[in-house]
This record gives sequence, structure tokens and C-alpha cells, in this order.
Amino acid sequence: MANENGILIVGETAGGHLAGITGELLTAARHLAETTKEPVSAALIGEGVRGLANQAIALGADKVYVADGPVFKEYLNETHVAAAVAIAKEANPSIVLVGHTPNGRDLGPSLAFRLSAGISTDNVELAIDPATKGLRAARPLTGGLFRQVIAIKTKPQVATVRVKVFEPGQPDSSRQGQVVTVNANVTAPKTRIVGREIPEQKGVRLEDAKIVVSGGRGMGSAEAFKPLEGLAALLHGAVGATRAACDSGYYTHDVMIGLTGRVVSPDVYLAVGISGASQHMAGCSGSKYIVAINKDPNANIFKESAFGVVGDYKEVLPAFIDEAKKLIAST
Amino acid sequence: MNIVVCVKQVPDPAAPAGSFSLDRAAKKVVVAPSVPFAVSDYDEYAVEAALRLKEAVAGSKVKVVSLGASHVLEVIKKTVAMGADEIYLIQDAGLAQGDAIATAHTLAAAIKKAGPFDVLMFGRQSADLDQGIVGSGVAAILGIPVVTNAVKIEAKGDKLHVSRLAVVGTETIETPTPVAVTVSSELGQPRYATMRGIMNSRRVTPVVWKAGDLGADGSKVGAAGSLTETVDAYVPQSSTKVELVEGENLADAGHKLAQRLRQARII
Ligand SMILES: Cc1cc2nc3c(=O)[nH]c(=O)nc-3n(C[C@H](O)[C@H](O)[C@H](O)COP(=O)(O)OP(=O)(O)OC[C@H]3O[C@@H](n4cnc5c(N)ncnc54)[C@H](O)[C@@H]3O)c2cc1C
Ligand SMILES: Nc1ncnc2c1ncn2[C@@H]1O[C@H](COP(=O)(O)O)[C@@H](O)[C@H]1O
Repeated sequence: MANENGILIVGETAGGHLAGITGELLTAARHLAETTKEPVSAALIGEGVRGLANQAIALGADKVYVADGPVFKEYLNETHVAAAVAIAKEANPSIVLVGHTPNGRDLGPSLAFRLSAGISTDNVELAIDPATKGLRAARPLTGGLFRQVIAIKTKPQVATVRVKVFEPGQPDSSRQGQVVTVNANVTAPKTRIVGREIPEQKGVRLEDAKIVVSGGRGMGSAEAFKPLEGLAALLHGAVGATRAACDSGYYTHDVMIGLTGRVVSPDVYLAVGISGASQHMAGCSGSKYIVAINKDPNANIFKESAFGVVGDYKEVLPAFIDEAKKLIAST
Repeated sequence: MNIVVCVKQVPDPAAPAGSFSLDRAAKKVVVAPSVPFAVSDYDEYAVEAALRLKEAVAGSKVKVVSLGASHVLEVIKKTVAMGADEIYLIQDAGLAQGDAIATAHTLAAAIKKAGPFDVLMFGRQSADLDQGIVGSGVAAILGIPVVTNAVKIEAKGDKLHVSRLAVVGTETIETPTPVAVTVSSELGQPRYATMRGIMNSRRVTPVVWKAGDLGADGSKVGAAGSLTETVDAYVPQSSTKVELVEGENLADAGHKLAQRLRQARII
């Protein structure tokens, strides 16, 4: 392809709405478009997504490409990549942004290969190189200890963007845009979804929680997580865990936070018995305040915390919970 | 069933953070000589997934393929000690320089050369680069379906049921073979080496290939085939300074921490 122009974001939907990442990607795209002066478009793939196009326009899209139909109802690599390829061929963008979400991580690399494009994943900073006008995408290296800045030699340039790095803008319903329906010819897919397992949602969703109470391997047992659950309930927060804690069977994997787990950015992230490995911090370093309880004064978690207590959580935590209860009851 | 696992050798990611530093000018991570090499974290889970499938389907064989400038043999042989059957090493400094896309082209060529295959297994992401690209890339090059972030793989007749991490929980995908699967740690702990495996690993001689042996398109592999370039590298700065709360004893420190957070209007 030639004359590539514009920034295309691949949106996501959830429960009949645009998912948060769609607004985040539109913010990222508008930020790049300030420099490139290119139009911003959004791809929406799913069943009944046409009705969401105006919301994408309100959040910053100039044009929305829609692949709508029952075959796209559920995310499936085969069908959604095919639709994204068809949209990218029609839109002919210079940059494609995809969320680094469970499905975006899956779609992004497959899409890049199908477009013979270079790709950088899990980016936490995006900029335009003033000299080359190309994308400069910064991503973690060595589990997050370092960052590398990637330039992509092809057009389009494909990048997946970490969740919660950009903030969705306020929707502006007066924004005008165009909606284009793309006929993505998806022939009978070879793969299909035959089952789902959805864990019970206890209390607030992790990503929405203002307070996250997380436990690590230092908790020492599954039992020890009970008070964390109590504390989370008291503070209207949610429970998280490290991979080491989940792998040890102390808590369920679906609340694992980090590079390969979920990304949270609450006001308070209380880390108990967590060493603060870079791969874990990748999932919580956007928190406003990290508060750590750890018996090792040299633990890395203290380097990223605003407040902390050095000591055995078995002695610190019950007193902390008691006092927090009193303070909350007194207001 | 012919199962191929792509395994990368990396500096042990569990080594203390202080043993990794950055050479900004070279845009490269420098690893202290004390850090041992290891099989990349998720690749061990991929080996485990392959071995579970081998046990479930009689007559299966597990081949391990690895690309690197050089390999530490006992690191790669750990996969045979766990139960894999054969090792194919692409040892070529030029090929090892490629980015994820060039690496996928190299591995795809090696996989084809190693013989017929039904299932290709990868780690969900390499422990040094954390890209999560190569597995999907090999699948696209070979024109086969890919299922990423798998946590369970079962043979069902001539198909596979692969459960993967979804937006919430997991979903199970039915797929024909050949298929590429990338594996996540929720699969469950990789097994330890067995006595018999260790004996086998002594006997196994890896097949070693260079660029010329693969018959890969030279413009698609190594530096020439790389579609990305690292143009800068840096250490992210954290400006946080911790306020450590103390007390007469640890329980008192716990009380004071709650009070301090309340005072700062944090809880
Ligand atoms: C490629 C890759 C991806 C990864 N992705 C993730 C990820 O997404 N999320 C994740 O969490 N990890 C991830 N990891 C693992 C990560 O590197 C660490 O191993 C993990 O985060 C450590 O968890 P932890 O802090 O609970 O355990 P540890 O590192 O073992 O730390 C336990 C801490 O508890 C403290 N402690 C012990 N007893 C007590 C006590 N009684 N009171 C107070 N403190 C106590 C100790 O001082 C120690 O600091 C990944 C690793 C790799 C290689
Ligand atoms: N040099 C390599 N040799 C063998 N397999 C590799 C190599 N690089 C990547 N892989 C495989 O591809 C997966 C994903 O790697 P990456 O895309 O770099 O995160 C790894 O977990 C391995 O299974």
C-alpha cells in the first residue's frame, strides 16, 4: 500500500458499550494527531456495534469503520483479525493502535503479520519523531526495569497500548464524524468458542476500585488472605494478588496484577508481603499512593511506595485494620 | 501427535534486579556475569503443556526448537529432562539479531525443516523482551490458527479444546490441527526433571543448524528482516520517597499507619 494516512484505533466493546480502552486509545490517537495533523479513525468489530459509532466520534474519532454482524459477536482471533485486516486495507492508516488487553494482545500481533507491518507491544509512551514523522513507542524491557523506544520501519506501524496509561476524554456529542460499513468477508471460521468459565465477581471490579488491597507470597497461606478480603470490603475496594501468591495457591489467578495480569490504578494500592518485582509493579505503578507492609526494609516495594511499615504483617495488619475500622466508623 | 515447542534461552529473570543494568549508548541491557541462563519462564509452561498433551495422546513426540547466538546445553536439555524427545538448535549470531518478526520467520523455517507438526507451543511472552509476538507470527507465516494465553489444552478427537484467558475468566476454543498455542502460567506448575529424563537428556544430541541450513529467505530473517528498531533506551525514574511509619511496637505502627493515611485523606 502507499499514501498511508491517518491513525486507526481498534476499539473494543463490552456488554453493549464501548470498553474503557476505546476511549483511552482515542485519547492516545488524538495526542499523536496533534503533531501529525492526520485524521483519527476507529474500527468497531462486533454484533450491534454500529449503534456505538457515535460514541466513538464523541470520544475523538473522525471516522468509524464498522464490521457488524453475528459472526463477530464474540471475540475470536480468526474472525476479528480478518475484519481488522479488511478495515485497515480500506482505511490505509500510517499508524494502528490496539489495546494491550486480553483480546488486543491476541489481535495486535496477528494483525501486524497479516499487514506485513512491524509491531511494538505493551507501549506506555507514544510520540511522533519530529525528524522522521514516524511513531516512537516506549515499552518496558527486562520486566519493566528499563524502557526501550521502538521505531517501526513499515507503514502501517502497529502498536499495542497498555491499559490505563491514557485517560479517555469527556465525550463531546457535538463532534461530527463519518460512519463507514466495511464488508469483512469472513468465510466459515475453523475455530469456535465452545465454553466459558466466568469467576464470580466479589464486590467491586479491580479496575474500578479506588482501593486495592493486594497480598503476595509473604502472606504465607490462603487463610491469610481472609483479613485482606475483610479490609477490602470495609474500604469498598477489591483484592489483588501477585503471581507468586496465585501460583502458591493462596488466591485465584483471575485477580493477579502485573505485566501478565491485570492493570490497576487506584487511589490506594496496599501491598502486603509483596517484594515489588518489576513485573508486578507494571500492573500497579499508576496508583496514586502505594502503601507497603513488608518485613524486609530493602524490599523494592518501598522504593515505589508513599507510605510503609517495615515489619511482620501478622503484627502490623490486624492493628491497622482495627484502627481503620474505628476511623471509618467515626465519620 | 507431533508437538513442537519453541524455547528461548534468557538470563534468569528471577535474578536480583541489581544484576541488570542499561548501556544507554548501545541501547542494550547488560547482565552481570553471575546471572545464570534459564529457559524463558513461560516456555517452561509451554513444555509442560506439550508433555501433558503427549501423555494424553499415545504415540506423540515433543521436539524443542531454540534460536540463539549460542546455547548453554544443560539449560536447553532441561526440557528433555522434563520429558521432551528431541532438540533442534538454530545457532547463528546473525539470525539471533532479528526482531520478533524476523525471529518468527526463522522459527517457521526451522519448524518446517524439523518435520511434520500438529501443535506448535510457545510461551505467551519471552521473559527478557515480553513481546508476545513470535507465536502469533509463526502461526500467520504458516497459515494456521493461533490461540494465545492458553491455560488448558485437551485433545478431543482430531481437534483440540484450548482454554485461554479471556476478558473475564477463560473461554474454550475448539480448533483443528495444525495450530499454534501460546501458554500462560495459569496452566499450572511445570514438572521437575525425572531420573529417566535426566538419563535421556545425556543421550540426546541436539541437531544444530546455521542460517544456510534453513533455506529461509535472507530478506525476511536477522537484521535484514527486522521491521522494528530500538532507537533509544532508558531507566524509568520514580520520584517517590517513602515515609516509613514507626511505633512503639509493630501493632502500634499499624495503628499509626491507619491514622497517617486518614490524616493524609487517603482512607
Ligand atoms: C516474564 C514474567 C512475567 C511475570 N509477570 C508477573 C505479573 O504479571 N504479576 C506478578 O505479580 N508477578 C509476575 N512475575 C513474577 C515476578 O517476577 C515476581 O516473582 C513476583 O511478583 C513476586 O511475588 P511476591 O512479591 O508475592 O513474592 P516474593 O518476591 O517472594 O516477595 C515476598 C515478600 O514478602 C515479604 N514477606 C515475607 N514474609 C512476610 C511477613 N510475615 N510480613 C511481611 N512481609 C513478609 C518478603 O520480605 C518479600 O519481600 C513475572 C515474572 C516473569 C519472569
Ligand atoms: N529465540 C527464540 N528461540 C525459540 N523460541 C523463541 C525465541 N524467541 C521467542 N520465542 C518463542 O516465542 C515466545 C514469545 O516471544 P516474544 O514474542 O519475544 O515475547 C517465547 O515465549 C518463545 O516460545
